[in-house]
Amino acid sequence: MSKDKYGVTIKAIEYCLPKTYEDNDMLSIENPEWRMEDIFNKTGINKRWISDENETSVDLAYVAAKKVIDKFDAEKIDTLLYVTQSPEYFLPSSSCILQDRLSLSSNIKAFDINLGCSGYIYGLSMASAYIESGLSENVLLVCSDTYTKYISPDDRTNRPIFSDAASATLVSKSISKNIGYFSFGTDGSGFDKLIVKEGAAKSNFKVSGVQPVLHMNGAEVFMFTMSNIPDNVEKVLLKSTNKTNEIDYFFFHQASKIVLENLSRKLELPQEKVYSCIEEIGNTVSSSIPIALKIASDSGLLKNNNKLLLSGFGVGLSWGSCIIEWDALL
Amino acid sequence: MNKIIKNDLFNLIATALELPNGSIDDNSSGDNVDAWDSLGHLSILVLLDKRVDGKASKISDLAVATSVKKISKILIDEGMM
Repeated sequence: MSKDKYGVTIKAIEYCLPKTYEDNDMLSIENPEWRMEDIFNKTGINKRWISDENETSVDLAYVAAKKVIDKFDAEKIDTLLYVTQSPEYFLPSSSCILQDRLSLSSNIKAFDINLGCSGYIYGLSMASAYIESGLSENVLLVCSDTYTKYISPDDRTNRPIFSDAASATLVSKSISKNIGYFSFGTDGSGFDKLIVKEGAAKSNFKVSGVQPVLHMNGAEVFMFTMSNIPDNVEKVLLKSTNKTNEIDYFFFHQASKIVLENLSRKLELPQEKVYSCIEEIGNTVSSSIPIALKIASDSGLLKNNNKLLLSGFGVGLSWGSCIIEWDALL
Repeated sequence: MNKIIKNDLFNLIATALELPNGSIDDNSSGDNVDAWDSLGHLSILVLLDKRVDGKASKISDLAVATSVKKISKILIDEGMM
């Protein structure tokens, strides 16, 4: 068996937002006591995308993945990684349902990854590892979540932030190695800082209210981010022997404006190098980085061979960063 | 980094909450200052972190310290006040 490693590149990215959105004016009318201007100043978010009552993460994922498959020979996809925290069922894996709906080959590895805002980086690392080891040639990395279904209408902390969305990234074998280095972190002591408590084993699979509810301690998650992510970014830079000024753009998880601004401050990054599309998209959890990459690519901002630093962080608590070299998308 | 004195902290919190100087004192907290809600507390954390050269973000207890007394105690314990 050859021990040569294969190169890996991102070949395509597509995404899907639900048809329905709500903007801050709509929230303001519904909740006149919410100071939407103050909220906007912190979140930087004006628009959030809301899935329909019967629309699942797999429905959104199907649309995003189909856009990729329409540009590529679906028969060549040998691995399907599905990052979600809004599965259709406890079992089976939503990846199996998606494999069938997309009519992908049955000669395929497919499994779910239960991660949130760090999920894209973990998914990229797994896709890279599979390809570099020779176990895969074309990995479809799909991220999809419908967090809005966990958020009650009167939740002033979470409702102005989270959007539903799906993204699909085709990661393929290539001559050059465009993905890596990686650096990861986990701190489960903060598991309850961002959590949906009910509905699973700890509540005997019961839900006391109408639906499971997302709880987030915004200040604690913010402090975790400011404490850990700059160090993690420094670590991946050190591993790659890149200096900060050699990175063309930084794509952080699109958590909120206050998070992006303060990560920039702590890392002393010029504002024009820190990409943000949060105002019109919202926080789409694991899809926020691929959606940002796709929008930046479509706008002409990204050029071949640009060095990009990606960093995802949140629920878990979990985080990861990596450096990629950009190549034109399909 | 210069140590924070009490008045600095009062003014810092007032600035973060967009209140006039003099409106925060030793007894102020999230329970009796309207602007000191979850968003206001984020603003306090950001200004505090800037004031102590990025050292505040390493102190996770500040995230739940929603009163002048609690913040002061943490800053004193950490040698910042």
